[in-house]
Amino acid sequence: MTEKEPNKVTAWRQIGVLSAIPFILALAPIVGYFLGTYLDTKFRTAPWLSYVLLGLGFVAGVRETIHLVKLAQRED
Amino acid sequence: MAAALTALWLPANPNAAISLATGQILSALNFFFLARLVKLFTGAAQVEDRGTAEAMRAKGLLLGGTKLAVVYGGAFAVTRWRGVEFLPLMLGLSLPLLALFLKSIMLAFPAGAARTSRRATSTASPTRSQAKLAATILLAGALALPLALLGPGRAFANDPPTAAATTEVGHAEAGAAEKAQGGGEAHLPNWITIANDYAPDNPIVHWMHENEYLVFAWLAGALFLLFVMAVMKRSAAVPGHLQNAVEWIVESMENVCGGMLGKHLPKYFPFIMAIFFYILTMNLIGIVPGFKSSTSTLDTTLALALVTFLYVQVSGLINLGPLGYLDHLAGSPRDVVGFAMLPVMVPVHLLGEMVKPVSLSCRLFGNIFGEDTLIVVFVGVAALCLKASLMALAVPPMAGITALFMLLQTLTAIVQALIFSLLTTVYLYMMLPHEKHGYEEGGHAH
Repeated sequence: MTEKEPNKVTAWRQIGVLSAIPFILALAPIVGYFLGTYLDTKFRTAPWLSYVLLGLGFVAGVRETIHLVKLAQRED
Repeated sequence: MAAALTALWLPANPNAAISLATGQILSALNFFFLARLVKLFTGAAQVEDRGTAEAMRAKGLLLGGTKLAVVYGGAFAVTRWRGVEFLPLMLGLSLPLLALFLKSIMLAFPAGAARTSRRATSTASPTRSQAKLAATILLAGALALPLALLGPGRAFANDPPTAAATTEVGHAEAGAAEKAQGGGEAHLPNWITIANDYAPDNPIVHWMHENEYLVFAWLAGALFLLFVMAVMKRSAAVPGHLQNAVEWIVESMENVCGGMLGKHLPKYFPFIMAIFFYILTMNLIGIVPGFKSSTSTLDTTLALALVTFLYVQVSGLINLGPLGYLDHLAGSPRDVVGFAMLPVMVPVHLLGEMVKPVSLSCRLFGNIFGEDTLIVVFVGVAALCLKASLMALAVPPMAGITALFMLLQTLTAIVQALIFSLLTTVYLYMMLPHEKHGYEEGGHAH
């Protein structure tokens, strides 16, 4: 194993991790909604599960964002 | 930008303008609360005092509740309005996300010293040329995406003779675009397309034509295998150029991944490198005339992301044990409030895990597809010039711009493979037992 280079590692990780945030924010509610729609069809609960999972998708997006920011700020 | 679009739309279509403005306002409010939540909880790691942590949790809940009521309640109210136009509304909601994406890329540049990202920029110093290069490529990819999504067929759609010419030259000229598989996507012809043109009745050729992406994915795997075998066969104490290059790539990746995985690196490094080289080969193969990038379809990227997702989850199960894994899925509750929040936190965490592969696949697909389509656009323009016997006009785009975009595609191929494997490392890191990643704080905010 070679010695790691902290600055280069952190810079790469910040670009990778932070540029993932918009995708996570946009896709989390979409995934939630489609999963909810599928479950609604399965359990005949339309439209409730799609609304609930859409809301939870928004929450999951925020939660993942906070986590990703923490990871990006972590120094090696 | 949204204000300018609203002003432009207002006289002609007031509903669209109002929808766009509303989307923009909702998105701005969303980011306002999000920034405060992130700021609140990213400082949580330093807080050891229980009282302060409780106060912070209460503040987080208040912020989360307000965000829920104002932003999502507002969005729900807007969708109930009869005059709402969804496309402008989505545009209004999406513009800040694009700005955020560009801002995250700008971290590598001096201009990235934004107020909310000061801590991040302090580590990503502008002297790091590799990070700047990566950022430039991502930026170019992001700017190219609208054009790529528009596609050459649709780009020329406003000009009927030109559009007709594009279709006509498609099979006649080597560099012209064609509509493949009837899906409306623009592609350059590859050797399978040509073989299918010559022998359309041959069942093998027909099958290969129907499953082009799969064939090229297999081909990429076989090429990579042959390459590795060749390098390993020639392995010597004093390395040659090829061995040196491969060793440099592997050592650089070791540095990047080792920073996060530490002592766990040897266990996961083979998988990360396999993913990196496989994606790299699939991306690069599309640059060779007559070949196609398998990663320019969502099917391949989603499959790759699902494999990564399963690998990460199984690794988490092995590392944390069944109980530890369930605890992780539940957001590691440690008190009464944490356990009371379980019915909400478990689906939230599951959704968060499910979004990861979708996000990985969408990003890889978007970038590679965008770059491929850009080349098709410029080759199509050159073919149109050739068709119109405008050789003087045809040469510069064909030789210059296409070559430039091929260079850009090469760089994108490397950066995207690197980012995919880097995010795989990040997701593996999240599943390591030593990690105390403070999900609880973020989770309790909602």
